[in-house]
Amino acid sequence: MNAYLISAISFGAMTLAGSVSIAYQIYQMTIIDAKARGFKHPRFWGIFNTDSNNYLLYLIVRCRYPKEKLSEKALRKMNHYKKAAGISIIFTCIGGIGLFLSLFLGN
Amino acid sequence: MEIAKKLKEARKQAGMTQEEVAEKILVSRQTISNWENAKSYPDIMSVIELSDLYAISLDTLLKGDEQMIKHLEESTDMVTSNKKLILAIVLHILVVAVLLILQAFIPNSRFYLPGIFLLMTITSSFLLYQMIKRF
Repeated sequence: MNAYLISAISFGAMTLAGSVSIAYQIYQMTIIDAKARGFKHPRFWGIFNTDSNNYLLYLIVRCRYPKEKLSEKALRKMNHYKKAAGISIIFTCIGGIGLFLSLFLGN
Repeated sequence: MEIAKKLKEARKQAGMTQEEVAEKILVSRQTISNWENAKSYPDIMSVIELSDLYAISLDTLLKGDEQMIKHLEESTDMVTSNKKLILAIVLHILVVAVLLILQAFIPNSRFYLPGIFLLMTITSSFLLYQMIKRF
C-alpha cells in the first residue's frame, strides 16, 4: 500500500467520524430546542435535522413556536453540543481536504 | 451608563449577591458576573426578569446603552437573520456554479477543479457552523 492510499484512508475515516459526530450533535441540539418550543415530536425533528439540508426548513418552521427559556442544565448541554459540533466541523473539513488532496496527488 | 454598571448597582441596591440572583433567574453565577463585567449581554427575557427582581424599570435598564440595544436587535430579529443566512447559502451555490461554468473556458485547468472543491468544502463548513450557532 502506498503512502497516498494510507493517508486517503486515514482522512476518509476522519471525515466519516466527523460527519457522524456532527449529525449526532445536531440531533441532540434539535431535541433540546424542539422540546423548549413545545414541538410534538422532538425526536422526529432531531432525526429530520441530521441531514443538514433539512435544517434550514426547521429554522423557518420553528419561528412560529416561541422558545421557552432553557433551564441551566439544558443551556449547559446546548453549549456543550455546540462546541462539539464546531470541533466536528473542523475535523470533517480537514478530513475532506486531506482525503481529496491524497487522492488528487496520488494519481 | 452601560447596562453592566446598572445591573451591578441595582443588585447592590437590592441587597442581593450574584449567587442569589443566579438562583432566582436560573442562570449560573458566572453568567451574572459576565453581564456585570460587560463580558456578555443578557437576553431580553433575562433583562425582564432582572428588572422584576431589582424592581427597576426596563426603561432605566436599557436606555442609554446603544451596544445593548444593538445586541437585542440582532438577537431578536430572527427573520432578518435567517434571510441573511439563506442569502449566504444562495450566494455560495451561485459562486460555485459560476466557477464551474468558467472552468470550461480555462485551458490546462488541472488545479482549477480541485481549487473549487477545496473552496466549497471550507465555505460549506463555515455556513454549517453559522447554522448550528443559531440553536
